[in-house]
Amino acid sequence: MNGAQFLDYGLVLLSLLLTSGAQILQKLGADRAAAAVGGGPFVRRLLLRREIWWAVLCLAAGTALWLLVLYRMEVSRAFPFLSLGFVLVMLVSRHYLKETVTATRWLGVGLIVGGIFLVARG
Amino acid sequence: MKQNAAMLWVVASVVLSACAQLFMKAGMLDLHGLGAGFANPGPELLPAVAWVLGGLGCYALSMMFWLAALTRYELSMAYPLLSLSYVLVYLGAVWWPRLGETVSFAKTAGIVLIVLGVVLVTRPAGSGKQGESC
Repeated sequence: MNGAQFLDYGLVLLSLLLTSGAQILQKLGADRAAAAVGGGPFVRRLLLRREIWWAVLCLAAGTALWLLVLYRMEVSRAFPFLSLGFVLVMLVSRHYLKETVTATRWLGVGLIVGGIFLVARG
Repeated sequence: MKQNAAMLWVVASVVLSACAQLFMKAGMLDLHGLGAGFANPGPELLPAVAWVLGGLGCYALSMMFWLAALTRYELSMAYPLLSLSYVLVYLGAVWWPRLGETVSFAKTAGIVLIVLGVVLVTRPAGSGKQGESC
């Protein structure tokens, strides 16, 4: 991997972290707004949550970075990399929600990682 | 019946998300071709900007479709369908002459592995015996 490719995949990873982070923040904000007592209708409570605004910011930054990625590399090579997001969400759920990860899911993780490696090579 | 309707929303959402990627790429490819256009913005940038905005619009619409389906129905069986987007983006990028990206054995094999992997990671726990056909 040369320097330019290293930068390409670094940008892909950063964009992925920002958009996945946005999803997690959005879920967190929605759960907390739903659990809150008082404060008016759900949408109003949602808009008052700090997590939601951080989610919007992360999503905007992640999307802008993604456009930069598309400027620099093939979409057929960059897009498959985003499947790593499923692995990320799974690991976060495992850590924070104490969800157990079955052997089948670990096999899936292996296939995703192997697939990304092949696409990057191909 | 309701589940089938929900699946239609999900499939529409996946197709829109693939279109979003392809349109955004088309716009960024135009910008890339213009090169110096960045430093000196002019009307020649308009088609590129239109593609990118169209792509972002599809992206937003795709998210709305997904949320609409998600809030109305029990959709744990729908997550594996998201893996379809990897196939659609690959086929689109290769078949749409405007993008004209390369086909290779390694890429194709990688996409197949990723689709299988995403299906295994996202399918609901304990669904092995019920089958994925519905």
